[in-house]
Amino acid sequence: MLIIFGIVFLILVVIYLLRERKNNTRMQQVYLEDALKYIFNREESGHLATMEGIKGTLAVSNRQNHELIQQLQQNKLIMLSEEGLRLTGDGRQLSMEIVRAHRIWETFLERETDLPLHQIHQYADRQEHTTRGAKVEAMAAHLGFPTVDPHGDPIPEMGKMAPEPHRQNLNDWEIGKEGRIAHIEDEPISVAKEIFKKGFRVDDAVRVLERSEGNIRLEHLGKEHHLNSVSAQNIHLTEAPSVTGEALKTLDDLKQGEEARIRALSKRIQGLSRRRLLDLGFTPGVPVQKVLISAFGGDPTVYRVRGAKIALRKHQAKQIFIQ
Amino acid sequence: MEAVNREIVKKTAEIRKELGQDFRDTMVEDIYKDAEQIAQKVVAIKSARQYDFDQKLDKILTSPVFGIPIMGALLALVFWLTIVGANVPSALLADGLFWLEDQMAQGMQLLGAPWWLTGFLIHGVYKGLAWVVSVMLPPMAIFFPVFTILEDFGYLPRVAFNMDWLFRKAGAHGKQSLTMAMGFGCNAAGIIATRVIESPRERIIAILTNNFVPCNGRFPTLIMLSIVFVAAAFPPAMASVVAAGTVVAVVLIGVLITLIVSSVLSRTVLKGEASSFTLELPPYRKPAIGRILYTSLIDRTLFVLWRAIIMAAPAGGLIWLLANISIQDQSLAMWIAGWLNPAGHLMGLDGAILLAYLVAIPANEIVVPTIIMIYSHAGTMLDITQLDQLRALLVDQAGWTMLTAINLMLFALLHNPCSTAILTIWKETKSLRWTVIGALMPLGIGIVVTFLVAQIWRLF
Amino acid sequence: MSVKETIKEASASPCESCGFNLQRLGIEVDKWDYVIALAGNPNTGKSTVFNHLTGLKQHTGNWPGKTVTRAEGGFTWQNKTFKLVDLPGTYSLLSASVDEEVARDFLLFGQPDATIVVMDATILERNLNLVLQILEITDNVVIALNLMDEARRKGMDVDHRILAKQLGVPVIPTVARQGTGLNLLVESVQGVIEGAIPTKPHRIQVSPVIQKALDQLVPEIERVFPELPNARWIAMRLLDGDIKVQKALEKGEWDVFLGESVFDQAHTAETEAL
Repeated sequence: MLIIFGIVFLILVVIYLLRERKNNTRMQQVYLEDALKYIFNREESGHLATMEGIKGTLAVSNRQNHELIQQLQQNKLIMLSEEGLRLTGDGRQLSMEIVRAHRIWETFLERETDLPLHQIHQYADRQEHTTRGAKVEAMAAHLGFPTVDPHGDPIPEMGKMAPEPHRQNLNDWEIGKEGRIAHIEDEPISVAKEIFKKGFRVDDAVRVLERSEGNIRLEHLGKEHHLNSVSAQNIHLTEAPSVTGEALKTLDDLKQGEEARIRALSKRIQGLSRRRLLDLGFTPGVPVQKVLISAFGGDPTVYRVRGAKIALRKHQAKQIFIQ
Repeated sequence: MEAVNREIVKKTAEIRKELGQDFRDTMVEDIYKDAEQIAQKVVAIKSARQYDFDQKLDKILTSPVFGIPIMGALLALVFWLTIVGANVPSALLADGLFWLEDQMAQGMQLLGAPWWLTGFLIHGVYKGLAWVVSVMLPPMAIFFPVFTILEDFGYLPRVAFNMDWLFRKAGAHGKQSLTMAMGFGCNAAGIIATRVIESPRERIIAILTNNFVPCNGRFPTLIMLSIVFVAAAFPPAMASVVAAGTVVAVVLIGVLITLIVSSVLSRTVLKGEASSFTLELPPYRKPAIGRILYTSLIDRTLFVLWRAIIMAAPAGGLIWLLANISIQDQSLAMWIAGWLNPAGHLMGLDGAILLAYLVAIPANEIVVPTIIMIYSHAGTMLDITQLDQLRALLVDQAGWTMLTAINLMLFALLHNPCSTAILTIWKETKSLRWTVIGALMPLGIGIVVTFLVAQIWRLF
Repeated sequence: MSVKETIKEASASPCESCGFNLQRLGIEVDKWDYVIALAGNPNTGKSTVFNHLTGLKQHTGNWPGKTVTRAEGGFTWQNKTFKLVDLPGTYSLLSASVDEEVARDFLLFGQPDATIVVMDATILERNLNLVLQILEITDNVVIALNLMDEARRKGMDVDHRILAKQLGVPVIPTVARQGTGLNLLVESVQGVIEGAIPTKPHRIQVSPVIQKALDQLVPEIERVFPELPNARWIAMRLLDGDIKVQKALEKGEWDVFLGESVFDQAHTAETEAL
């Protein structure tokens, strides 16, 4: 018990010290960029940003807020008008770079790490200020040039942002019609956490079964879910489902000694994991046999593929669909 | 020229847009389609009993019932072989090398060298070197070949498979169990062995926590303490069992701390690092035992010698200087031990122990001889093999209690890695940050743990 | 002489019994006539081949990732000095893990005179993934079809002649642990380098979508770099977003990235900001 206490204490100290390294000038830059991003987002959604809006979003004092806006103006990044704040060409360009860094980071975190999905937004918020230019491009290339982030938002490229496709709120979606999740809002975090925890992801097919007072019953991957309308407010759908909504059998469903052919790798395995699995020969059509189950609930389990024995963890096996 | 090349890059970007996101998948699928066609033409299967032997052996070695007990038994056997097998050659090497020390000292005297030169070179530098070679070489020369035989046979991936459940929960990779096992031989070797972990996050976890398993150089301290203090409290018939049990308990504390720290690291500092898992279980193959014994012996001997010369020899010289430079009739070592005493007392240890750990950063093997040297006011590192003499020195003279013994065992487990291991962390990560964390985190944990244990012990 | 005949010829060569006229040089290679890369999946006996040829006692093992950095050694054969570079064992060159970066970089930017790919005859299909990729990068390849004894024990009949015909490069059956077939292997390597054994490497049959993209891109690359032997592979890497290949192309230099990993850079970008 003592040992655990000691270690936890020490780790906390280390984390604290690492955080402290961020010095004041960097904080200043973070504020400036966050303010730019706020103005950009307002403009994207067809509104004008106001000084009060910046103050509220960034949680800064009146004086700080004035200083920020002054500095943005001096750097010719924004223009002040009667109605509110407007980005200049340069300001728009810089905002888009920040947004690109943010969304590339989110994509990286979703695909390559096992960070919970509702946390990636926060994490990327910190990284977007320190990752620029060549670093962002190297990450983008490493990820295979993604065009959409894990929340369904387009990633701006070469200073251009793809227009948002037409999408409809889940609360307004027609009952009984199949739709594809096009966007999951990342804030507030508690709501995003609930949505991701229930297994909803961008690109999944869903169907609304019933709508009652403040509550929605819907079908997703062969299972029924309930969402309250506040959570549903954060999900947007489009037509044309990309994948079928039925539940598919996976490698995990095989019994020891059973063999099946692979149908597809789920889109939820990405990054290094996906590339490694493909390289080991887990490609569509190949026969795979479950050969050894480990102690403690068969996690990991050994599969024979193309003559070799490969151990996979359960969460991976559940993402490999079989015919 | 460059403009033309940029054109190509631009054109690529355009074509890539049309291709969409599935390029990589399609590419690999295409390659495997070709591979299937070729393999079909080339390979003819004559009999159906192709996987028989492997599969049967795997069913036993990875079985939910027998897998882990077999693994435990094998690990125990490796340890037993190492400790028992190393005893005699270690003693022989020590006798031989220390005999040589006397001879060389006499030779120097005959040549008319001043006492301080003889002392520094022979009783300092050479002694440090000889000590490390005699303590470290025999266990290394036994431990690693045995391990390599298991590795060549194909057993190690099965261990990773059996242990993965434990490490998965700590956000780590099953292969970390192997790098830990290597760490029992030598932490630097364990850190190099983390190369087998292909996933960046899990690899860094394995590197940073490797020091929590005690290496061959630290085992003698644990064994000595468990015999002199813990086992002495039991009837003689049970003594050896109790001593062995104590060492195992310390090792288990090390494993527990490894898992806790891995888990904390994976959820905090390392949560944004790339993570993945795959593990191939290759076919079992007959190990080439002769070649392994030969190459392993050469490799380990070279490694230990290199380390003894680069790391231990300067430390030996420093220790001699500390013991022989006197200010106001008291050696430098005594002065420093005195200054460190308050800090040592807070941690349930004393100044001499802390000083020994400071000078033994290059090689932990010389911790105990240095402590004995300071207590007995000797001018050179000393070893006492008689248990009652050792008890008399540590308990009656230096005032060690059970608390000192327990905390020293904990501190032997939890302190900064030796300089070879720190250097290896740097070489493997090429990151100042990870090297600093890898060096200071275990030390910090050690200080906190011994401090807390001491304070609570004194309450009762 | 066709590839098939050459290989038949080579197989029938009496040199297997004429003793070792191969002289091992260990690590002592200052000057060399040819640089040979040694590639292959993990657990194929690659390091055994390396040790046998160079006399170096590399630590081998049934374990991937053993040789993360390149190991080098040398030997002489018929008055020619060969430098042998042992690349890390990898399943592929596409995943961009550190091992694969090292191997890929050496094959692409290090431009060895020839490449030996060691294959595990018992899991041919999986091994072919890497082989087919290497054949896209370089024409001078010799396959060591290793673990033939194990394949036989497992009741598999692996025909190296058909494999040679399919791949368009020499395939030498070997049992590296006993040193069987290695003389012939070296002889074939020399033959391939000096042009005595012509090769016509297999090209990956890509899907129509990818083929269409390649048809647009490859001529462009060939126009700017007419001397490049592997424009098709370069095009594939560009499409996959291989930033290193892209940079090399922009600069028009191919050896600049040897020993430096862009993966490292990308990775530090990821970790630094923590």
